Amino acid sequence: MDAWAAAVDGEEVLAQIGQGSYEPRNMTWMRNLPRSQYSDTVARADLVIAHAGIGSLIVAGEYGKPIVVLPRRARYGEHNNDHQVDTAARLGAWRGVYVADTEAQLGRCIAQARCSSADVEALEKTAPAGFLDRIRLFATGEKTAP
Amino acid sequence: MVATSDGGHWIQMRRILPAFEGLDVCYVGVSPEPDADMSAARYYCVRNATRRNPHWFAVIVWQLVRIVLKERPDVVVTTGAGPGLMALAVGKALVRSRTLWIDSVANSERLSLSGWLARPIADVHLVQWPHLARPNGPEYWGAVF
Repeated sequence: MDAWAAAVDGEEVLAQIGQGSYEPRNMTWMRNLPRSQYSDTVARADLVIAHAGIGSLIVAGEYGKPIVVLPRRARYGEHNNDHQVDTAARLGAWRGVYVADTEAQLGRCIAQARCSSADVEALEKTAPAGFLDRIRLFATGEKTAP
Repeated sequence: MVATSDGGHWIQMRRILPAFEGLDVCYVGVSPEPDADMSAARYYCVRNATRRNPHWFAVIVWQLVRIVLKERPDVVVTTGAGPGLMALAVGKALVRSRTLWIDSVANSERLSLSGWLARPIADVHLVQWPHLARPNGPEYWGAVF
């Protein structure tokens, strides 16, 4: 991503790098953005590039932003298991989600996401009403429908 | 009581909060600060623990015992992961809370490890993908999106 950031002109690139040991030279970076700052940043962004964490996908969706994801893989020690590969496979069909299966595909996915200027329809900010209703019935102790 | 880890777990929890509107809710998370729209007086921070640093689970249990004895929650709800599992167990054991486990929507092909461990202590055990529901096993009521 740092090499990509060096090559793109006139774009502001902001990186949240977590505990990574590599410190970017061509991007503004921080370890962790507090939650509210993270969502404000996504709201201002044109494009989000992330691993296939469900939080990244949901927040990008809530702000109607295109997102490129490179799933974390257990074989590289990036996560406990390959559930991000599964998430990417399931949510790759969402409008505005671009899945890079390998690092080599990243550049092409980013290019695609940047040219497709089609608006991504924003996800509702809350769960669907039917799901909320059943959870509420459980919480209030009323009998739930079978 | 809503007790949930950070990151995607927390973001999923936020999406179900409207279900508790008007109810007396306290929150347990692993971030030092609550969200801007949450009352700081109703927010408790516990240590984070994962399978990579399991020794912290002992600390979390101690923290949760104090929180649960103070709050005496009727209901404990979590969207995962480890700390949420501990909250269900402590609530159930100490004050017989009714417990709801909602497995993360990120687990689309199999139940998470913490979800599997939550089975015996969750009164209702939910998965967010219909194909993961089983007779006498996890139920599907819907998903956070």
